[in-house]
Parts: sequence; C-alpha cells; structure tokens
Amino acid sequence: MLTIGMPRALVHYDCGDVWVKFFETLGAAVAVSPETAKDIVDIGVSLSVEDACLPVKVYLGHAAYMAKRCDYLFVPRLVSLEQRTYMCPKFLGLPDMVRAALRDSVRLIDPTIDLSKSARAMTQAVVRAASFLSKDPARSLSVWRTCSRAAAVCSTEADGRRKAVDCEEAAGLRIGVLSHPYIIIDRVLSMGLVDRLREMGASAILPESVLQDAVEPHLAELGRHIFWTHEKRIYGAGMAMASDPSISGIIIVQAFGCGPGSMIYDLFTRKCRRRSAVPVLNLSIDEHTGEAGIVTRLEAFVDMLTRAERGCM
Amino acid sequence: MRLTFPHMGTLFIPLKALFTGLGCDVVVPPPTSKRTLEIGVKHCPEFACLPLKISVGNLSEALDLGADTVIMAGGVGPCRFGFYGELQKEILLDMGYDFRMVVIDPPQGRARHILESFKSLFPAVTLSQALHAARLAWSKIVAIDRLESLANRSRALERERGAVSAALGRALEAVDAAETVEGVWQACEDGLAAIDSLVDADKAEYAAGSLVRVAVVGEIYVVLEPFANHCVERKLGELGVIVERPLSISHWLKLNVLLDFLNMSGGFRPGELARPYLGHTVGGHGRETVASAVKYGRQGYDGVIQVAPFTCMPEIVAESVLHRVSKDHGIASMSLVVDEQTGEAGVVTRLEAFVDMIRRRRLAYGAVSQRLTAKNAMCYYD
Repeated sequence: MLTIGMPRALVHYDCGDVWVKFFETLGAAVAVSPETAKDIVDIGVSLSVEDACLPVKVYLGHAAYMAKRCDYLFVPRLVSLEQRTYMCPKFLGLPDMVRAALRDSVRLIDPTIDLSKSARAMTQAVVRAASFLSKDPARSLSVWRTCSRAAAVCSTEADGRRKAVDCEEAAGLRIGVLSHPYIIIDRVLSMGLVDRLREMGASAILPESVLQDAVEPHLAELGRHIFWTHEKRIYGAGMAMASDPSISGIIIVQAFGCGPGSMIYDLFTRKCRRRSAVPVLNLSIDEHTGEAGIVTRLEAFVDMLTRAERGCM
Repeated sequence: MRLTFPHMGTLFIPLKALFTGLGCDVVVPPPTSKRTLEIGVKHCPEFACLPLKISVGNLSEALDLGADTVIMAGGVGPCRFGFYGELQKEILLDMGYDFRMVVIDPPQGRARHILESFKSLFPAVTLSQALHAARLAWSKIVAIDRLESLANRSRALERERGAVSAALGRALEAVDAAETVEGVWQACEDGLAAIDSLVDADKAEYAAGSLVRVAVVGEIYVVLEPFANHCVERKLGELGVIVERPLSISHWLKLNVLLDFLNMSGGFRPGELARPYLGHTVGGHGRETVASAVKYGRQGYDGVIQVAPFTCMPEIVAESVLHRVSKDHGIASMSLVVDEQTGEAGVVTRLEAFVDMIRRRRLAYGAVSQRLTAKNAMCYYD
C-alpha cells in the first residue's frame, strides 16, 4: 500500500483533516508527522533561507522528517480559498520551496487549489491529487464530497463544543488571542500559550470562535478589501473582540517577519486604539525566542488584567 | 489641489509631467534621504517591508511642504504592496496630517476603471489634454529607461571613474526639464551621445568580450530606488561589471497594465521560464526574479543579483529556489536583502566578493558560455 506523508504544519491546519480522510478512503495509508519538536525545528531552520518566517521553516522540518517515511509527500499549493482573497505568497510557492529544500528526494502530490475565480477549480485539484490512486475521477469526486461534508459537520460540532467551553469558563478572564491557526495550535511555536493562559485561570478566545456575523461589519467598515484569508478573519475577529466588553485583553502572537501580519496587526492596533481601551500585548516569535521571556510577559499581562478587573488600577 | 506621490527611483519625472499636464499643482517629495527613512521607521510597523517605510517618509515630507492630496497605486494581492495605500493613510492620519488619499487600482483588464478614477480626480480636463499629458509622460519613461540602461552597460568602460553617472544625472535633469515630446527625445539623444563619448571603446577586454556581466533582478521598488539598494548598479559598474537590469518602469507598465488588454508580452514569458523551479505566480516580482535568472543564465551571464526588501514574501520564495537555477544554468547568484539596518560597507564588501568570485571562477573554468554543459560547473556548485 502506498503511504502518503503529510507535514503537520502550515497548510495542514487549513485543510489537512479532509485530505487525510480523502486519501484513506481511496485506499492509501496516510502518515501525518508528529507534533513539532525541537529537532524538527532545527532541521527546518537548517534547510530554509534565513529570511523565511518560523512557520515556513517548521514546515520544511516536518517535510524533511516525512520524506524518509513515505512514498509521496502531500504539499498542496493553496492559492485561494475564496473569491478575490489569497493565502500568503509563501503558501503559493510552498511545493517549490519544499522541492528546493529536499532536493527532489521525494515525490510530491501538489494539487493547485485556486478558488479565487471559481469554486469549480476544486474539482480539478481533487482529480489531479487522486490521479495515482484512482483512475476514476467520478469516484474521487464523490469520495471528496463525502469527506468534505463530514468535515463541515465536524467543524460545526467543534464550534458548538467550543462555545459550550467558553460559557463554562466565563467566570475567569477572557482574553482574545489573535494568531494564525498554524502558530497557535502548534504547541512549540506558540509555546503552549493557550494552555498557559488556562493555568493562569484565563480562557483564550481565538479568531475562529468569533461568529462570522460579528466579523462582517468590521470588514465592511474598512474601506479596502483585505485580500488575505487568515488576516481577514484575524482583523475582523480582533475588531469584534475589541468591541466586546467581556474581553479583558488581546494578545497578538505573530511570527517574526510575517508579511501580511505586519500590515494587518498594525492596522488593527491603530483602529483598536481609536475605538476601545482594551489592552493589547504583541508577542513575536522566531527560532531564537526564549520561553522564559514569553512566559514573563504573559504573566505580567495577565496580572495587570486581573488587577484592572479587581479595580486596583 | 496640491498633489503628491511617493518616490520610486526616477518615477517622479514622468509622474510630475503627467499630473502637471493634467493641470495639477504637483509637490514632488524631497529626494529620499536618511531623514526620510527615519520618519518612516519611526511610524511604520517594524516588520513592514522597506518600501513602505520609505514611502511614508516621502509622503510625510511632501505633506509638510503643503501637499493636500496623495496619489498611490493599489493592488489586489497577494503582495503587501496592494495594502500600502490603506496603511499609509492610517499612519499619516495618526501622525496628525489632514489630506485626501486616492488609491488607483490596477485595471485587471478593464481600462475603463482607471479612466473613470482619473476622470473623477480631474473633472475639468479634456481628453486631448489628458492624451497629451500621457504621451509626454510615456516619452519620459522611455527616455529614462534608455539612458539608465546605457549607463549600466557603460560604467565598466568609462575612462574616468564616476563620469558616466554624472552624465546620466545631467541627462535625467534635461529630460525632467523638457516640456514637449520632441524636447524629451532631444534630451535623450544628447544624453546617450554624452554617455557614449565617455566610454573607452579601445579597452582590450571589451574587444575580447571578457568583461563580467551581471543581471540585477528582484523586487521592483528596491531595484529601481538607488537609496534602498545602496546604488548597487553604480557600484557594480564601477567594479568593472556590465550591468543588465530587466526591471524598469516601462517594463512594469507593459507587463501589468498594457499586457492585460493589449496582450503585449514583449517576448518575455515569466511563467514558462520559471516553471521548472516555481510553478505558480507568488505575487510581486517573485516569479519574474526566477524567470530572469533563467533567461540570463541561458544568455551566458556570469551572475545574477537578487535585491529584495527584508521580509518580502514573494522574494523569499524566489530566494528559496534561486540556488537551483544557479546550479542548472551555471550562473552565480547572490541575494542582497536590504532594510533600514543595511550598511553601505556591508553591501560594498559583498559585491566585491561576488565579483572577485566570478573572476576567479572565470580564470579556473573560462567564461560561462564555454562551460555551460561542462561537468565542472556542476561540481563547483555542489
């Protein structure tokens, strides 16, 4: 049986689960790399150009780890998931960066997913990605539809659960955490920020858990369309958090040198400052970031919020 | 209405001609200086790319001089440049300026949009006035590109160090001052002749074709703005290198504006050339950088220098694959990443080392054209 390797980083957090399910249903074995560990980071850093952001370096580390353990490496070229909106340029060149870093040591499955003009482009991507597993495009497509529908149900359920959790923890501090999924879900990249907040008695509200209805008005208010998928969400959710009185503070976690982030977080900070007094902490991470420094700043921020809450400030 | 725009190399010359022709009072920002950059660095986000920082500095200095309207090009992603207008507006507002911001988006195949946004900006202008202004601006663009291109090929051969750059400066001033299309052509021809007269055509190495040839590619702003790239073309030229710079304002206009609805590609198809290394456009000039490296590699150039702002996303992708182009085509490559911390001496040292390396390689293996298929070129890079 063919083994398809999937790096657990970057694009994996956008669409990984659906593709795992898809390839498995089609009869391949799928191996997802383990959670990020220090050796994976080190390999990635050594394979990458130094100016790339840490999440890209970590992706290359995961890819190198999986390259020896699979027949095909799945590295989708995620160009766009919705009209007039794109992923970061580094997603657009991801398969090429992986090929260059691994010197063609592994075969890639790299479908181009570009839904900027029409949602039908997904069909092509699916058929192409499955071409070596199934010669029957109709079957691939029907499997894909089943998997993506299941994933949609899953994410709705997860939303429901998340809201339930939110309500339970509403007693403690509620802190908005603005970050990309591939940073905040990865415990090494985010230094376990969400868990740490929980230990300090605060709950983290992520951009994904803010309702779309609350996000839209803030995007519409902005004169210009934000043409990056993640950042659009982050900006809208951030503004929604800023106008939500139950949120006591906002933490931005960005990768050093993040391109779209540099623009959007700055725009957010400026707009937020004009509208609300919510405190904002800005953390940036790279491969040199020390855990102690992050923890100290986090503790200080939470302490400050707690005191403000008690009315001591 | 007192109109201004950020600098990008010599772009202010045609823009000034265009907007003056449209009946505007144009405030050209003071030449980009250290002070400009300091203003930008102080007020821009830390990780923003260098062009944003410099442009905010330019606009701030121009608004200080009494400008009240800012014209800026837009974009539709995924390069950050498309978002510059929005952020510049917010930054300048926070700095306390009162002004109007006009962002002109690329036509994307619909020339009408651009015409309409111009129409709303300049309601009193007649079509013939507009065409006249556009023609004058276009002639200046072409003249500047010809002059700069000749200067880049001539510096290595000048008899007296710095003479070509000085002649270029005078010619650009003459083009800037010209008020008619005929005047621009005259200034251009005079400038070309002046630069030509400074060249020592008898130089032995010229005849032997042994001069080092290097292409300068990368992100368009830092390639075209000498302040940002520390005059990389001039430095290379004065190190005795024939410099080729495919990016220019006319090239950009052809590729992004005219190409869309006239289908003019000028024979350069970045997608095809770059495909083995980069299978998709990545915004900005990332794919053009890779395609140019392939193109000049095939033409037997000795080296390619990629100039990019620090954290530039498209150029990071290009940089990641550039070493493969280098290996396949036997062309040496170097990435010069610039930001506000870049020091002049560092750039000089790296350029000298790069050119020295090419000369030594030539001594050992001969010119690129002679060893393209030879195995030793491969060994050299592995």
